[in-house]
Amino acid sequence: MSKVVNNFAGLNGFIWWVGAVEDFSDPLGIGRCKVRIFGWYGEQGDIPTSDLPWAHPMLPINNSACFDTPRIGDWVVGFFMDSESGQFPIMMGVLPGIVVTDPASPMAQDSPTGFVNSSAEIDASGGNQSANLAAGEESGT
Amino acid sequence: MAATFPGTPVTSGLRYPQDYSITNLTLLTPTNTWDVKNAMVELSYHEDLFNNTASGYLMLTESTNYVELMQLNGNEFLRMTFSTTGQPGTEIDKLFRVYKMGPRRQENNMYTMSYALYFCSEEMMLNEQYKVCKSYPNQEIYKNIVDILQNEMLVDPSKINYIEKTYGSYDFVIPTLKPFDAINFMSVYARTASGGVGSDMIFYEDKYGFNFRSLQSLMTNPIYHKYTYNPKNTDPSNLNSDQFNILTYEILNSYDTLAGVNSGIFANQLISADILTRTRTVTNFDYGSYQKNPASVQLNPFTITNQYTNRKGDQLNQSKQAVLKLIFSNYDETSSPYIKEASSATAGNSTVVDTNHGAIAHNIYAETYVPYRTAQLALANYTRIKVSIPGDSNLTVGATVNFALTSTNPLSHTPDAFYSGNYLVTAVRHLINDRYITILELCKDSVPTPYSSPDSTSTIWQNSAKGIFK
Repeated sequence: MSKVVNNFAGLNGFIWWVGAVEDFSDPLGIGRCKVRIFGWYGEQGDIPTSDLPWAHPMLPINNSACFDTPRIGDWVVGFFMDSESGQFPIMMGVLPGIVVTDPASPMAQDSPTGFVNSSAEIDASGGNQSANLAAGEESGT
Repeated sequence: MAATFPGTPVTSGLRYPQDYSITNLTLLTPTNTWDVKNAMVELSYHEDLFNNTASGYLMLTESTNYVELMQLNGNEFLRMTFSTTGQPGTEIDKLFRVYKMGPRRQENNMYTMSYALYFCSEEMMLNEQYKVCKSYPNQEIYKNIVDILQNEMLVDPSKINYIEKTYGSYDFVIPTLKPFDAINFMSVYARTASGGVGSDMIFYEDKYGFNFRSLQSLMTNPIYHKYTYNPKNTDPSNLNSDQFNILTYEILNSYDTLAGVNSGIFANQLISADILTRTRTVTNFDYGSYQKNPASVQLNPFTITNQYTNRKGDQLNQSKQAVLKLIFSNYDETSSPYIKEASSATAGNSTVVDTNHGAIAHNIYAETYVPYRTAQLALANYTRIKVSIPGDSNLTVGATVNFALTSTNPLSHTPDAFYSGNYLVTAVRHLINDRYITILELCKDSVPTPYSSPDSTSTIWQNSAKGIFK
């Protein structure tokens, strides 16, 4: 009975969210990201990226020593450790998606469907380590 | 920010207790400003320490069809100015938004209607219309609250009465909350910087405007007046005595040990875990230690219970896990050399830990606010009394009064040893109809006389604690 009160993590309701990654340069190097959580953290004009709390990653239990971070623009799903307070976000995983771009853009013209994967956009500009690793290539590190 | 509270009791101009003077009762509508004093049947104005805004209702009976004439539709304002007769300077002078009309009832003839107009502060309406989505990096909480009032709700500075300073800087992201929800959210974390211990800050509206204060600082307010319950006929030669004589009283909450244990008043325990440093901290709240702490403020000198020891050898304040809480916190993350170095590198300064745009957020001090606030807010409402007194427009929530409850023992006319004493006014209703009375909700967290403790060596007590008769 005593646990059924406020402030008992795990019993206060599991509040999950979806957001977009805006910064992955975690000073502690443990894969945290700044995520613009939809409906909670507004837009850039409301809360600048630098003020967003670091969202902690949740890693797979069979491979927790090796991890990669989501890319800028990736949509991630997660939950709040502090429930409705919304100050301690945890990222559970990335939601793969397809980005609709201007059909007239060179990138869209290269794509037979007219749609471009957001990871491909990142790859074109700065290299997509995840995609390379997924293709069986060795990481440089 | 004018903090004129508490007012001083004035009785010099009093003609008769329960007299009132309404100098202004006007409805501002798009068509005109209407004086509705003559149609007023009842006016009720209500403040509550645990509500963010004041509210009330105005009951009208009229046969001029105000509803159509004034085009009442829920976007009107009500200005009211009233006081106890002959007490200039104590007026309650407020402007409210009329948001609702109650059921309309036909009276004696087909042209006369009775109905109530419900009103609240305009800020309550704004609170329902807007959300706050904002970050406050490295800021003190009281400044954030002023920012929400002034920049999000556009509250005129004259309506912000008293904002108590808070201790420490925090990094909050207000996650798209209603303005008052955002204020209440931060109040939970706030620790007063002006004396007292724990975390008992509250945001409320009184007759002067909006306030953000700790319960302990309110408890240090000078006692406004001593009230007695002494039924008698009015004595015109001693109006002062009549004005401060209680008309009726009702003890709403005497004690409830079971509820007290369940709400963590006597003892509670917090386990705070930090996922970053993988540390866990256990913090216990012990009512006995809290009560003895010279820094903590209570209304009366003694504890609300005696020293009864149960069959397991514990007093009420020693069963720490009666209320167990678990939260994720960030206690002392900079004690990790790696985090400290990474944070310093981010700040570009080897001696300053950047907790703003850098690696970690400021400590939220969960180990202080969770255990203390759990107990303090429940404790402040432990004993609750409702009293009605002759109307006193000087009284507002947050005042402290002394209540001398005459003992019901017919052989003793001394004040009750435990239910007399100092009380905090947690709610006020000014009710004006054919007379003016003020209804107060009074709460206290302690008693003026110590309770006797049972003799723990006595066989009957030992056996009773074991649940047996011997």
